[in-house]
Amino acid sequence: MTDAALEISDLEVSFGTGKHRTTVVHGVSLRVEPGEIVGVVGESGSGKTLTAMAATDLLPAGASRDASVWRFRGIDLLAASRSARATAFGGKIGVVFQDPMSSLNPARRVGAQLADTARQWGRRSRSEARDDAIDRLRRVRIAAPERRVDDHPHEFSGGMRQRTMIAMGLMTTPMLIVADEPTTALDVTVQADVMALIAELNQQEGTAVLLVSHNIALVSEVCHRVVVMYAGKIVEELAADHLAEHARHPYTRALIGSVPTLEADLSRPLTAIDGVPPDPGQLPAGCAFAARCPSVTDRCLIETPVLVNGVACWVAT
Amino acid sequence: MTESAPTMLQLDQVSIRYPGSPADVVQRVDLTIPEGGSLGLVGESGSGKSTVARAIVGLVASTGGRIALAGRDVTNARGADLARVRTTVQMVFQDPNASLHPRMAVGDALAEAVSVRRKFNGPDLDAEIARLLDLVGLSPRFTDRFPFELSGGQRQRVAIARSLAVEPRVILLDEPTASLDVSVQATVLNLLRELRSELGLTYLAISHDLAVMRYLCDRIAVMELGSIKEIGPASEMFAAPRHHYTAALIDAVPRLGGRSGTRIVLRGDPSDVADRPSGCSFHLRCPAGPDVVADHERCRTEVPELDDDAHSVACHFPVA
Amino acid sequence: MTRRKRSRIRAFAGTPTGIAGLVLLGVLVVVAAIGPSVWGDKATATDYLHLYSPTTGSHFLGTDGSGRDLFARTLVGTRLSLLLATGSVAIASVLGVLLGAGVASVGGRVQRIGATVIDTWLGFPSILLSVLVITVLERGAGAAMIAVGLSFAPFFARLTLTSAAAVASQDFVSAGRLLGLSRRRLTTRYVLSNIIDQLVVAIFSTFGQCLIAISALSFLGLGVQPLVGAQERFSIDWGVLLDQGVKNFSAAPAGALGPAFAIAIAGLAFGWFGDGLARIFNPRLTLRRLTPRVEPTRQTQTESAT
Repeated sequence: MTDAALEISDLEVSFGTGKHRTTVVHGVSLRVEPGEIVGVVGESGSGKTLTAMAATDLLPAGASRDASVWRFRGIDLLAASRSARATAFGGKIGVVFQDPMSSLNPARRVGAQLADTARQWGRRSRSEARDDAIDRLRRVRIAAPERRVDDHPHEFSGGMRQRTMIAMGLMTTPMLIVADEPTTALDVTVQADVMALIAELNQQEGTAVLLVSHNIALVSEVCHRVVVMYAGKIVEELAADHLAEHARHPYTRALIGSVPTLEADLSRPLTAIDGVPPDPGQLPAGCAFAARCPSVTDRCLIETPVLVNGVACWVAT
Repeated sequence: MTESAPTMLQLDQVSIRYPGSPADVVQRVDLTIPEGGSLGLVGESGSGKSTVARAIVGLVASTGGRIALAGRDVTNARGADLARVRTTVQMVFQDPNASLHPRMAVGDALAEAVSVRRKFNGPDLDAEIARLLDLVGLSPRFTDRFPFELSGGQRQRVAIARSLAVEPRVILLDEPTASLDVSVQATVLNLLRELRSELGLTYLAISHDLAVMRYLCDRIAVMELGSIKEIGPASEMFAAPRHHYTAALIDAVPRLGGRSGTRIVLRGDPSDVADRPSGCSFHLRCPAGPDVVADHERCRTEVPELDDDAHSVACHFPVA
Repeated sequence: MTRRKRSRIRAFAGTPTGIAGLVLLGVLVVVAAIGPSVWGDKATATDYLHLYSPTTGSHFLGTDGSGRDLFARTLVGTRLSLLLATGSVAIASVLGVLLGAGVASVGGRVQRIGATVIDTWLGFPSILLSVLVITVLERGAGAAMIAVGLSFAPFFARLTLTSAAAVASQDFVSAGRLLGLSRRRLTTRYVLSNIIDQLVVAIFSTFGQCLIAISALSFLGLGVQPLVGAQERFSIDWGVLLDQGVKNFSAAPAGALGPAFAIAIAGLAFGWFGDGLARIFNPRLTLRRLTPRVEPTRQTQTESAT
């Protein structure tokens, strides 16, 4: 078995210490194979972002991580120091965040920001790095990259900035791109464009992608495998082309039903998931989804389901 | 909606230019919504769709054309006229995080809105607040909550309740679900559909997401760079879009389980109104534009007009 | 409403600095109230055998050029100093906030003109402005207070205008306009109520600066005018003491440290009290029913790897 691009097992993410410690990600295991696109789907507060950030060493201040396995390209990160982890990830990972307006440094030219990455991790000279920057901007379909490379971020549209973030990841040869809601702030046309670019990179360069989103339809379009999270836990994990027909967890099904589509029957309302998710720091006994689940049984209220054969549910078969 | 329903909202050749701006952000827009009807205004950011809505309620001034509400001219209304517009038309904003007073409890915000038009004494006021909360599916215990104590979906429900407090006849929905999770979006869309049929409201909805519009609207108008490119019944528009831009917007909607066939790619980013292309403003990005199809040169020079049809399109070479 | 009132008190009490500020302020007010009658005689008694005395058993902070006890003078000076500083802060904040809110609530050209006036006023050297004001008014403590108030007012006007403009551009203010609320109500209930905590912090933290500004005027002979006889005890303030102390610093350093320390304590007391007070205007801080949001805002990463 080859090394996974990224692998983390039994991940717990907590905030605070001692009495004030709250754990918001509970025992999540995630594996991204080389060349694979994995989608992590869930509502706000499901822990999907924290999971992705914990796995890529980008947790915000105040959050702590605990895991039994943590490897990137086969390199053990659990025992590694902070700087050793930075070296392991350095130049091998690209990150695209939700807000294109704040993810680039507004005071520096786009090209210089791209060149930093290449000079840091690719040991390129200043002029080589600039040529690389122009090349990568062209690669992400920025028109007239020779001219645009000297622009400041405010001269770029939202879609161009997200493409620039992807270009930044491409300055070296990344193994993995982590994209956290990369298109939420964008128009649908631009969203389609950015997603197509991500899929294209995956096909042509074999870059693995970890895509975090609340939109299950969007994720299903580009991903190979989809991980559905609810209240800090994985509730279902399945191949993306099984989503439409073979989703087993009631939550996954409800998520699918809630997406307005161009084909759905207009005479019926969309599937609504009533209520709000529990606070992942104070999970109820039994299944966390039980209170909102249409197929809840007595067992669901007492016993916590575990992830078996890709689904964590007592009712799903 | 039947054709015979009286016209509720009518825009006649409305143009809007911001002070100091070199070009119109909205160009000669015609729209008609019958009472109880629901029109969706679709387009990318910068298409001018939100500006149209803000002009209707007087948050921005129109610089040309005429806006009529229930048969009365309310173009750039002032004073008593404007007050009447604002008790007839209310707006639900995109981000309930920003559209609710952060330091006003839900009950106080609703009480304030209710008292604008009607006078209630204590117990009646409480009952009215409870009724409004109930309309949007919230229990009366939300009365003393502050916005920061609510989830995104609950906040948008409160914003909807507040807009209903003045008993409006028209509601402008400006991307009402864009800042919500997909699962929460579904409940808000269902609520908006119910409210419309229960209260006989007229909607003008704005979104860049056509799938959302399909749920809310019976007619769709597609805007691009300040002007309407296609307008018609929603069912026809989705079944057979006539403008290449509409087709691209429909194609961009994510489909569960992936798409079949190739994607319609729009070249480049949306243009800017300050730098509006000559001829058809869409010709630079159009998959059937002059850069793609050799004999479509007239798109560069000649501005296409909407043809006069129930399903009307402004394109020299519409989708077959 | 009682729930909110109680939680507001809790919010204030929940901050150690707010409580410390309240206690310090209480002590200062007591000293100011009893100062002239309790220590007045000692503060005005001259002792020509001990001029410029350093710290001794009977003179904790030493004596001044007339042999008067500086510790007693510092305590007695509390009343006038607090009155002058409070007065000038009050003038500055009332004038500044009203002007800023007024300019913010009108639109278009009037607003641009108002903003320019505020900026020019802000750029005008404050000492020059004070001298001008005192030339017009009769020289004395009251004039100094007004002069300092006027030179600090544009600071609050600018702060109010900038913060109000940021709030006014938000959708909830548009929503309020759509409801047909009056301009006055929008300005007070919608805009000012959202920036009140910032203003309170700014107003209370200016106290120390105003004290210094008044003492600078006193130093130039434009501020507090020393009275003689029985009235002398009512004309002692920390600014004058500080200036005299600085002049005699090599002979009796404690004489400067006393009033300097008093000014610092008073500044701190007002600043801390202001911080605590600001909290009660923000429901986010007064209501702690919900646990913090689960997914906090992430830091921005401009590097592709860390």
